[in-house]
Amino acid sequence: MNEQKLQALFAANPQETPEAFHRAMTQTLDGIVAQERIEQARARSERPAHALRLTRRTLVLAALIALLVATAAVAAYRWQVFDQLWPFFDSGTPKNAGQVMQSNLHQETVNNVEITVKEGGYDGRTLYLLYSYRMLDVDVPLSTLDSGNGGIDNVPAEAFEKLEEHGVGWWTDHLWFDGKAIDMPGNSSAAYSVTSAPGEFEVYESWRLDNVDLFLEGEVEISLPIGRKPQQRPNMRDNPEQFDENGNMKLPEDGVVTFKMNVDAIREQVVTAHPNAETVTPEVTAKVTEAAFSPLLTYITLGLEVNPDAMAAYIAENGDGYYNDEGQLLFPYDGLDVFSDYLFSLSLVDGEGKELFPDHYGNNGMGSRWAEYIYPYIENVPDELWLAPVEGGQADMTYAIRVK
Amino acid sequence: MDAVTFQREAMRHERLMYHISYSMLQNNEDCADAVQEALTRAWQKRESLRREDRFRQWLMKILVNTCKDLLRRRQKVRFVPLEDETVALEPLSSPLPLQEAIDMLKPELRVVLVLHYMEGYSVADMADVLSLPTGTVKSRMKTAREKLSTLLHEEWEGQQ
Repeated sequence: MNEQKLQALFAANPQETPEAFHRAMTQTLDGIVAQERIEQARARSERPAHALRLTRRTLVLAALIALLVATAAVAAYRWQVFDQLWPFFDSGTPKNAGQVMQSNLHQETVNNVEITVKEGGYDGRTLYLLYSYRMLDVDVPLSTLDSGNGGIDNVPAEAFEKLEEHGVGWWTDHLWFDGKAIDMPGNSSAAYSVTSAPGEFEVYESWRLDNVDLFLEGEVEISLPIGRKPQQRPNMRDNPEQFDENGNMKLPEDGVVTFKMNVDAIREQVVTAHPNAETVTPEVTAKVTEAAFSPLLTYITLGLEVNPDAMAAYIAENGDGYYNDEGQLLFPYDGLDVFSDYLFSLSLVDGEGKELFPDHYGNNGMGSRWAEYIYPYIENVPDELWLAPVEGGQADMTYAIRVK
Repeated sequence: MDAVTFQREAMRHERLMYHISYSMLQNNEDCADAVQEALTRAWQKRESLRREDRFRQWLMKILVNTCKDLLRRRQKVRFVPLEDETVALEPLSSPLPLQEAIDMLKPELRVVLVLHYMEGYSVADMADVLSLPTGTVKSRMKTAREKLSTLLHEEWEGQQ
């Protein structure tokens, strides 16, 4: 082996830069550029009036242009909350994330645990949050701790035990918006992940506020029950003064982390349609009660009514419900048992029956009277949109349900 | 230095940053983490860059230190002093593919091989980027070549 041979050997075995590394570099640098532009735009808008000799109209235009430039740059930034949430974001940060997401919303330290709200955003339907707990007296990455029983995702059980020892963490099933409590909205989700920083793990949450008929606007004060845990969780019997007339917990003075988020102009970017055009199949009458097109996702809700003859035929064949070994009725059969195959087969197609997202499974839940489908943002909405049964890549428009 | 200039200059050294981080971490996921952290640190400490013509050396030093921090935190490698003697390698029954052979070397030997043979860096260039004396770089090159040759089942006969 000599220098020449070694050089030839290396030349024959090039090491290409992996895509993930390239993406990490470009997104970090995009974020740095975007952040500087935002800071510059803010600095210009805060300059003292006596330093400017511009008309009010010019000032407004300059601020708007700076904001648009900053917004376009921020759109390229990688928002980590989408890495962990939902298969709807399987391509990573969605295109319009910069329009709805904000970073570094709040930080405070409670019982030697640094709690940071790192990312937050709202798309007119869903609230997205990424926050972290960092136990300042733990000097190892949490990935090195004992996984045990009771870990969640890649956060070991021992990490949750340590957080519990600090008396910090989620302690009640409420969120508060401008001081008013809501219960846990259905179809929400959460994920957890350790980070490389000692003592830290992150929590990624999506809250379907529309499922509790809550639509945010303007500047909102959000309170999460992730601070110092009370000695005893309040209940209506022992602590009636802490609950309102509807049985909702009033915003406590302690135990919550509160921050503000501005969601101005998001609601007007959400376009909704209520086609309510019925499609009748042998098993069910179905209609789209609402289609909401937000900057991040497309939400489609179905109303369903089982065909009584189909229900009767199902019961005649299968009995009236599911019984356990002791002969107890656990649950009666309902419409979902009759038409669930139909719901599973539905996919979003255009007027020609062409699937918009052939690799994406849109169903996000179903019941005997409703079903929900969620798809990514649609940049160019076709003139016609349908949910149609698709098999082998072919849509059957006979039983398609009109979305638009 | 403004953010756009920082972005442009950093991207020019993408491949170099990958080679350095991979030499030390041997894991693409760790490399992505390391480069994110290094770029963030570098931007926060941009006032410490006194001359823009030293950008490459300055950024690589931050990257190397970030990789070392990552290794210490993850306790994957017991970090050895830079002048430590390398461990004698056991002879293998058959020669390894090049990348596997490189991966068997210690990080400080891997990085000089990669910088020299993949990036075309001279001893002086490497000393500059890694902030090491040229004698140290020469010594590591010599050791790295000999170790690599053994793993490739050949005897080193070239010039040092």
